[in-house]
Amino acid sequence: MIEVMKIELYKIIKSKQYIFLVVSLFLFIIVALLFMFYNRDPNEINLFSLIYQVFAFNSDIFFPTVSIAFFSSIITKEFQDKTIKMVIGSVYTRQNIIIGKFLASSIVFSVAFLITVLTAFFIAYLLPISSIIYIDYEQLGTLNVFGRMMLITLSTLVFLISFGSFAFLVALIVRNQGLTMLIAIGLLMFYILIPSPDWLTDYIFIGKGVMFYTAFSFLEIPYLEAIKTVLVCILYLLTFIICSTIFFNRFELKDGS
Amino acid sequence: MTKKSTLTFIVISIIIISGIITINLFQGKDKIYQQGARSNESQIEKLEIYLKENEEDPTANLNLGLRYYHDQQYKKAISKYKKVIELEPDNALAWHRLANTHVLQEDFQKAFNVRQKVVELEADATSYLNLSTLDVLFEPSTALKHAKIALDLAEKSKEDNIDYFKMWHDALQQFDKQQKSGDISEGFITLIKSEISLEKTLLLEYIGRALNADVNKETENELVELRGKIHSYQSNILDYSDLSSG
Repeated sequence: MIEVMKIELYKIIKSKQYIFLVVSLFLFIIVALLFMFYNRDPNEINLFSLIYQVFAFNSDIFFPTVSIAFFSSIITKEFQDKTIKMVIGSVYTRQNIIIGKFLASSIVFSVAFLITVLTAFFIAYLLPISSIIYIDYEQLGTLNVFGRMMLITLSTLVFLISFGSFAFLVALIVRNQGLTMLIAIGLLMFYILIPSPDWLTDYIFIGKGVMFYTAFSFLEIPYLEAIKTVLVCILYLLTFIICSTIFFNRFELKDGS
Repeated sequence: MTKKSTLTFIVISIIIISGIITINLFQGKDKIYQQGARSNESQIEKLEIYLKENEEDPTANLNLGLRYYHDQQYKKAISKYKKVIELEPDNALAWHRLANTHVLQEDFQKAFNVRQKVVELEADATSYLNLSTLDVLFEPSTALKHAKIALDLAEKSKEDNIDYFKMWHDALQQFDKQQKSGDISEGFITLIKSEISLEKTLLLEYIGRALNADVNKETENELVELRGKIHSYQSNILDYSDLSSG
């Protein structure tokens, strides 16, 4: 599996698919950062609220969209370039191919996301903000604020990768980038626009971005709720990957490749 | 899928599901959005229990006072701060929080006296700025002097928000001129529009002072409208831009 992962990493880097990822993440984050900065009273802006706003602005729609686009492109590109038969015909098992592809995509996505968010933190820090912390957070230290920001970043990353795993599965089934994005974004919009019952919102991976930036903005962080949400996302992630593996094995038999 | 992979997946899934179930059992049915408020209530309960056996713990008293303050139980908050002051008469934070609570109770005279004590104990920029916001009610002539000290101290200690201190100083300079020329209402309107974050009750007091002086009909209508907006504003601390923007 490690070998497949290395090959996939090389393919992603060589095909420059990561450029789209970094540019779009950077654009969404920086645009949100500057938009929030210039649309508020400079005397009221603080580092924590600025970063919070960046996540609040992007976590519902824009970040998941980037995740869907990136993860689905990893699969659909193979169909588009007609390289899928070569992949299937390689010495590696189908299971290793799918998991290797997913892990490589997740690594690239995580690195791009962390670099972009850390760059945004750095830019936000350089902006002429009035203070590091929000007035209600007067009891918190700078380290605490940065810790919260990192927790928001990491938990949002788990949520985005779980969304990516969903796009990964859909891309394998429909084999078309546009259709995959339509289905995944459609589902996202449906979830956002149509009110869902509580039992569903608690145990569904969609729309979990809001949970994280909200949870870590409380003076008393509801850690248990945040951990539970991360676990729900991981469970979905595993399920989608297993489904992808099962589907990919069947796909081989169906196509006779 | 190999048997090993299937087994691994099942084991990991069981661990995750067990984790989710355990968390559900621990936290009950609280929603994430309710937990902020509920955690304050539960912290109050915990601190109250703790203080029954550790009545003389100043940190716990101070913490409980703040929790009462956030829960709008101002009388209880004051009693806790007074307890801290009894235990540690030089605890500047306790005095500072006591003043904040008096302001929200509209007991400005007491708040003013307490703010003077805070300045004695902790002569920093914020203490002077806070004092000057009450000076304008009781000793307008010293407000500008205290705002100047606040600005100097902020510059000296290289505070991040020097502009904030400067903005308040400039507003008080204007206020001072207007007071001297007998334009009392315009002076208070200058302070209200200075965009400094102030307690809701203090802003209402400024508006009251402006209305009590001679104002023309147009300004009176504007101030009355502003007063209505402040009353309907939920937060305890706000500034003019909060009101003008919505």
